[in-house]
Amino acid sequence: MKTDVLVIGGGPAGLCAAIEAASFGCKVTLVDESLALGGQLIKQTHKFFGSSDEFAGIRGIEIAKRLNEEVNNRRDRIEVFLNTSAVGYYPDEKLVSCMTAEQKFFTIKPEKLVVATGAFEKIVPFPGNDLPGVYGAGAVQTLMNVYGVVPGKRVLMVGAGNIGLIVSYQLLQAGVELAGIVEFAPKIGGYWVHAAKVRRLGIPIYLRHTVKRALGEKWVEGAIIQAIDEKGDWKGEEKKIECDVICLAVGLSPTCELLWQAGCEMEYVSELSGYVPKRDETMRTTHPDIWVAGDASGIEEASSAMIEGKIAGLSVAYSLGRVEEFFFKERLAEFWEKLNLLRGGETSQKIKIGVEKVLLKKDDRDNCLDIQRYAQARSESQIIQYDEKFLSGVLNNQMVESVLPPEALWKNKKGGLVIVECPQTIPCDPCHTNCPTGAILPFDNINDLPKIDYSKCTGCALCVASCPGLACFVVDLTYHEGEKAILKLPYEMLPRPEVNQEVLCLDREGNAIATGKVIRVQEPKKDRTLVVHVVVPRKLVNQIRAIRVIKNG
Amino acid sequence: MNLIEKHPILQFEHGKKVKFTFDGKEMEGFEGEPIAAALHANGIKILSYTEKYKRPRGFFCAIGKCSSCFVIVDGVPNVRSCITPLKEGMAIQTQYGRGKFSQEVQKDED
Amino acid sequence: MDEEIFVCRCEEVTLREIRDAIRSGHTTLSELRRLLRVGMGPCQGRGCREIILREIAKQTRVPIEKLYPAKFRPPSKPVPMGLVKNNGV
Ligand SMILES: Cc1cc2nc3c(=O)[nH]c(=O)nc-3n(C[C@H](O)[C@H](O)[C@H](O)COP(=O)(O)OP(=O)(O)OC[C@H]3O[C@@H](n4cnc5c(N)ncnc54)[C@H](O)[C@@H]3O)c2cc1C
Ligand code: SF4
Ligand code: SF4
Ligand code: FES
Repeated sequence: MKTDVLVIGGGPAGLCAAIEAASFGCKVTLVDESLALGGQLIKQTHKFFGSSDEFAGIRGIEIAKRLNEEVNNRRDRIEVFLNTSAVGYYPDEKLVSCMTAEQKFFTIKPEKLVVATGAFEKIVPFPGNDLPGVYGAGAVQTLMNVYGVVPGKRVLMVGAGNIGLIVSYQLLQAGVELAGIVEFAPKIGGYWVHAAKVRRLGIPIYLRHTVKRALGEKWVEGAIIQAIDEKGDWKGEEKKIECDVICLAVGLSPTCELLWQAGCEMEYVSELSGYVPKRDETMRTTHPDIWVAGDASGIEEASSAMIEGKIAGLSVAYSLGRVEEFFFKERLAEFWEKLNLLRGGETSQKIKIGVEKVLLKKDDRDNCLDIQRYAQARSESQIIQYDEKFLSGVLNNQMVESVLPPEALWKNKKGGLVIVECPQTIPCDPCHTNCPTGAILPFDNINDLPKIDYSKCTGCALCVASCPGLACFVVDLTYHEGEKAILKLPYEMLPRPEVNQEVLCLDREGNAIATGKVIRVQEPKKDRTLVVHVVVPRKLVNQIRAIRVIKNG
Repeated sequence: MNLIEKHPILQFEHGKKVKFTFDGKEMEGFEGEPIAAALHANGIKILSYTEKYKRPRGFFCAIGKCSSCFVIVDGVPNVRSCITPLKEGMAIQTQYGRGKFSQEVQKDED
Repeated sequence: MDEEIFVCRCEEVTLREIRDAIRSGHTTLSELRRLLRVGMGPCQGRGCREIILREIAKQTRVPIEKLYPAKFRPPSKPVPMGLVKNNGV
């Protein structure tokens, strides 16, 4: 079989590459080994960060649907093969061998190839790590979010990066018990707001801990965890955790076997989480007919994977003579602008450094040094303060003070004022883009911390409903019963709270510290994130940050 | 089956219910969903035993990359159950070791 | 620690075997592959590669970035035996 462009992998990167190339008239073949298009997106029930151009504030599953539609609109030019693995690349013949349904073997001969094969879950070595019940985080997600199968009764999560934190939250949403999260490092690796979400539901994060062994003969029946010291030696007591699933979320490595086979120059770059191909600004590898995009080119994010996919698609179309040079350059520059913006925050410095290492360029090594120095200065300035609590996703008392609105304005403000608990620069801005009054000021850079003009805030709680970090709250101190106040908070769990119902009020670590009464339940964005208005004791408004519905019977 | 009944965000639209067997035992699952998911919903965690040390194996990545989830399907060994869709009447077996063809090789379908 | 840790799930190679082999001078991925068959199973070393590289780096005190990578050849996926033969390339 022949085609202009073969795209391997139908995740966000591959889909965008296919869409972009097809929109310039290329005939595209897209193969994906899973049973549906969308890659990692089809299991992401949470709202994504990033900028609105790349669908920020929208759930991963929704993004997958939209990209799917775009592919469907171009079905005359994009041919899709599902349940089809690209298994080998034969450099001499420039052939890709494929296998459908573990049965049928065939080959494709493309003019140009885009490899967007995503990533593979890393494994940690401990005795029993090969037992059934030790699952990758992606597997747990696939089971519960795509096929609705309960992954287990009680899960121990290993790793507090974004994936570990998000999957933990998703397990709770699916009604699965979570024994806790262990993290090797002295602080969470993922976004702080994601940690705060699970902490306020009472889930412990054990920093500087790891799994010592899995218990069980035939399958997982528990785990032993223990603390480690700075040198990596065991410290303190062993702790037994009851669980039947140990979920590994210790990072991903790029899947690049096909690129190795094709003879692309590869380099190990720890910032990008493994071996990745060298590439130029158009995502072309050292092989003139092969491009790479998404996690396969370095572990990053769906938003950047989409842009990289578009870059690869555009560049492939250009190399096939389907795009004018001027237009190509303009569009490429536009894409890079977005990538740079996305990679501007403290959490992305690593990526930037990693990309510099593998980017094929002519002369500007100095530039690279600058970024390194910048990053270093930055991380030094970050080392300061923070206590253990904060590092596991809980604001400490001084910080609580700093996020509260000015007392004078707040006291008498009908409808209440916003409280934003988002202390880390991350590429995210839906709080601003969804605020109808401009109270959350425009971001100069998408990585900025949200800045607030309290005089404009009406307490409408649209930010509460749209913040993917569930980091916005509204507190109305004018509730007429004096001793009480109204707290408007986001809620994405079951069961759904009912008006007039009594609920437990939880503090930032999930301790039940009061009961409150639900007076209103809204779904402002019609996307299943509820904004619940709860009447709570006024003196606890700065502590209560979540509710639990008391199950009857 | 061990399924999530209610979810605050998702609605699961399962396909047609079909019957299949695992080591001869009749089970139910949904057509088109991966064999591994169907087995897990039926409480099956062990999919194979390793060659050397006879260690039990379940799935690990669920996206076709680790080859931890091999089973024998209608006589064909080394089938990645996490990305192979379930069909009515499939005979699935635990795989011992590297797996041998217990039946004639499937013929090309077209 | 007596319990065995399986690093390569496919070929059932333990961390101890790998450490021993590195200690006796087999300090590249390709040598270890030939000696122990690590990373030669159907997953193509996706699970074990990182762990092995880290072990080599630790023992030889060479940063991972500087270790020489092994080459991969097609097919990168386990193809059920017989199918290749039947359908040809
Ligand atoms: C829990 C979790 C939360 C996340 N949250 C966010 C977030 O909030 N914001 C954000 O921007 N990003 C997020 N991400 C990251 C994001 O999902 C990934 O970075 C993104 O999906 C990478 O896209 P991709 O297209 O490169 O790879 P993938 O989405 O992994 O897609 C790769 C596709 O290629 C297919 N494939 C692989 N090998 C082959 C082969 N040989 N033959 C055929 N097909 C093949 C696979 O089946 C898969 O469909 C999250 C990821 C996870 C796991
Ligand atoms: S409560 Fe409404 S007005 Fe106030 S910051 Fe949030 S969105 Fe803006
Ligand atoms: S407060 Fe704003 S920047 Fe912070 S997570 Fe929420 S939407 Fe993103
Ligand atoms: S579970 Fe990894 S290939 Fe099936």
